[in-house]
Amino acid sequence: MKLAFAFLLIVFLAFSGYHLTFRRFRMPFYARPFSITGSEFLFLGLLLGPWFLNILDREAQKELFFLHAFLLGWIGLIFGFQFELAKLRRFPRGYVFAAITEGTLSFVLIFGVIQLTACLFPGAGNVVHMGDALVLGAVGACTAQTGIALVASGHGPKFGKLVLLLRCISSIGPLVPLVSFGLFFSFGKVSAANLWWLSEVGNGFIILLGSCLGLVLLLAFFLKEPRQESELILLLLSTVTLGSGLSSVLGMSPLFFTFLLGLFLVNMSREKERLYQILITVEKPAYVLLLVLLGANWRLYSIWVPVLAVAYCVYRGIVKVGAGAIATRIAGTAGERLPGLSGLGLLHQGGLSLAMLLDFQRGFSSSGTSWVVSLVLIGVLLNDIMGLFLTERLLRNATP
Amino acid sequence: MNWHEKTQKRWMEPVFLLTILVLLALWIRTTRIETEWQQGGLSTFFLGFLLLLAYGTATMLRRARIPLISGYIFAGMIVGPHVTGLLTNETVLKLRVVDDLALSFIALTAGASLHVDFLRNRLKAIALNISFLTIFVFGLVFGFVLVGASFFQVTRTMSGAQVTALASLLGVIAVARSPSSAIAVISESRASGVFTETVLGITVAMDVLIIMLFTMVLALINVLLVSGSGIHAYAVSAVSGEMIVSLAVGFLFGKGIAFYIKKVGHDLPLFLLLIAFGIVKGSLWLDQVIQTQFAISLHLEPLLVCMSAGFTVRNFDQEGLRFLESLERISLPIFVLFFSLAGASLDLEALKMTWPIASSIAIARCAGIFLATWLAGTIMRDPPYQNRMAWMAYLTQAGVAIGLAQLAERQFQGIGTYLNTIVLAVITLNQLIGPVTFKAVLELVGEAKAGKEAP
Repeated sequence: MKLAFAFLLIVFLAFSGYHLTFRRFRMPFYARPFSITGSEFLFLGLLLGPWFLNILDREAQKELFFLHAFLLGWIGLIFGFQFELAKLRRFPRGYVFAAITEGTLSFVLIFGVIQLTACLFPGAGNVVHMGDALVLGAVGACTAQTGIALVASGHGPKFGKLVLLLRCISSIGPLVPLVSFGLFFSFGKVSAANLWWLSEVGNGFIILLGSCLGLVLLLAFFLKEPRQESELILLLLSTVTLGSGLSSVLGMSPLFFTFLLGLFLVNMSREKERLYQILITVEKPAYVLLLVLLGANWRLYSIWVPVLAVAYCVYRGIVKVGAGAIATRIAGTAGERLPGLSGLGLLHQGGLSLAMLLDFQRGFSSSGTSWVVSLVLIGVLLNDIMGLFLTERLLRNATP
Repeated sequence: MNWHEKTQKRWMEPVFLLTILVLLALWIRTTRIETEWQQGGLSTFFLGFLLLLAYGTATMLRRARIPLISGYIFAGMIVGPHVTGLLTNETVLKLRVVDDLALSFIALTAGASLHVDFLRNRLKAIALNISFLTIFVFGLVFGFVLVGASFFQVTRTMSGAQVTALASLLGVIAVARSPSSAIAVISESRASGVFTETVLGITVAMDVLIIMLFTMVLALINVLLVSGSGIHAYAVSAVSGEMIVSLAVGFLFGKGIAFYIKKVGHDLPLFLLLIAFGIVKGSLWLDQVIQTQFAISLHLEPLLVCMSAGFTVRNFDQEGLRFLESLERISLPIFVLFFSLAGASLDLEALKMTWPIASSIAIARCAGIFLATWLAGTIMRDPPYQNRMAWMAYLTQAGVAIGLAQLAERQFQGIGTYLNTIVLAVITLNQLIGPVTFKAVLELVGEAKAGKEAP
């Protein structure tokens, strides 16, 4: 009964929540970032979690596994659908290169410095493992589209090129961090893996791509005949659950697996537009659910967590601004004038980074994982608050 | 390309597809499960697997004119614990959390399919048919089980009260029809006319009536089996009271849904999903609260609440059609899972034992339908040839009947397993034969257009 209640409650929250959030309500100045980015649902999750109301306790969360897997699969598929080659070609080539550079650079700098710190200070090395550093780097390198879209909508089309660059970075930039995360998830613990005859990373990689292509082929067969919308919903639901389940059993990341699935699907299926329309209908409720589920596991182990979160946030901000400046240089080689501080518009972390966190939390359950998750969640909050003001400021100050 | 090649191509693709799926499942079964994450992944994988396999099998079998629902049940049966064992009992049990949701959807759809204006045109014929079908089908099946109990292995060891309970439940479930199958066959045949409209009217109205009848029978059996004190006037009035309260609550929910459609309007499928699940779980919770806080046993019947809600939106609101469309949009995955899980739960050992009684019940039901439709048609002065063939339109059975059997199974552990197995066996027969006979009768009475226009 408790599980049913928990499920009902979070579905209700997801449903009602996304209608009340992501909007420009006339709210007090300090509260606007929350209502626009949906960060309040992190607190709601915290309230429902074991620390307060205990509705989403450990047992309920364990039983809600399918929801976790489904959410991760759905978000992965949506992200994969953004990589339709025909649409990517519409971005200027320099922008695409700039976006990939920005994402890679941010990831390498955040991951590298955290890992270096862990190596230099033996005390930190005991707490922060390489996997933790990699996850911190990967989630830190992500940029959300929502914040950019919401802020840009209030400024009209005069900053077209800048907004286009920011959008391009937020769409394509997380590619390298996500692939790194996915590969780490899939093969990072290969020595302890259960795949006794697939313990070789090479074989694992073949399995990953093979099973992914197998599912795409299956779906392609089903989509050979024209299908009604209800049939497409069924096919999408079953493919996402099948893919998430398959990757979980094989010890791989559901998020990464379905990302690859989406990538193949969007470039191979004739029904991609109809499939995408179905996918995005639950994009926002899925994001709200992510926040609630992550919020439920939010812990403040010590005073050091918020302190480190602030440090992480500041360092990430510096990296993003720096990487953004380099990306602007690359994008501006075609003679376009773009503001050097365009990285200020890249601070929102958004859904993909949260999905990575949830994936990491489920796949590598330990106190270290919870520590990383708690730290990043504070970072996400701070970035969302700062990101909104800084993006507005960037657009206001930029010369049209 | 000759006929042989065409047929081969038509069947090879889906067979190949399903083979890949099964091989994938077999491969996953060999993986060693060590962590909770993998355990959860296994259930999630089989959820997706079952959905795809059942859908693939059903669409393949449709080419052989076998109805979709039969395909779902068949696929579930094959991969279930009693045939290939790809799905273990544990996995099936885990996945069956969807049952309540599916039942609510079936009830919402049944209520929403019942349109007053549509029924008004043939009110007398529909009322006569429904009355006779209820009396004859229930009477014949009930009487048959009661009289023949000593001849069948399954019922021989049961007590008198258990046999009466089983006979009542089988009788009432035998009355159920399948609106979804009927609608599917009608649209497939592009049939229209007086006969078609009457059949559709009877089918949907019957599905609503069956939920009420079942609720009543269930409560009466509860008195008979659980308290063993016999049926008192108090029990009957209590059951009536519960039904009225359930209908009233459903009406309020219906008004709420209508209000939502009018004022908000978007994300209707998601909203309905929430409402359906909420009604089921809310009813259970309310039962407990009222029982513990006020020591009153008031059982809200979720099916009746949902049916009443669906009926209210469809008939007392302008947005009724939109509501029905939204239900249809999301019902397919729920129904596929529900029917395939019903197939996977089919205990073939028990089926072997219950086969004689199941086939006898199917024949008794068929005889009841023939008598009822012939008598109603004669009174209505319909053409005699039509009266002789009308029974062919009423054989299909599916969603509600399976749902009711499962509800009874959960409530009465002793007879429930047999009931569920017998009902599934009868339904399997009716689902295989029913759509074929329905399609045939639509052609025979000249109301099917699909065949005529074919070159």
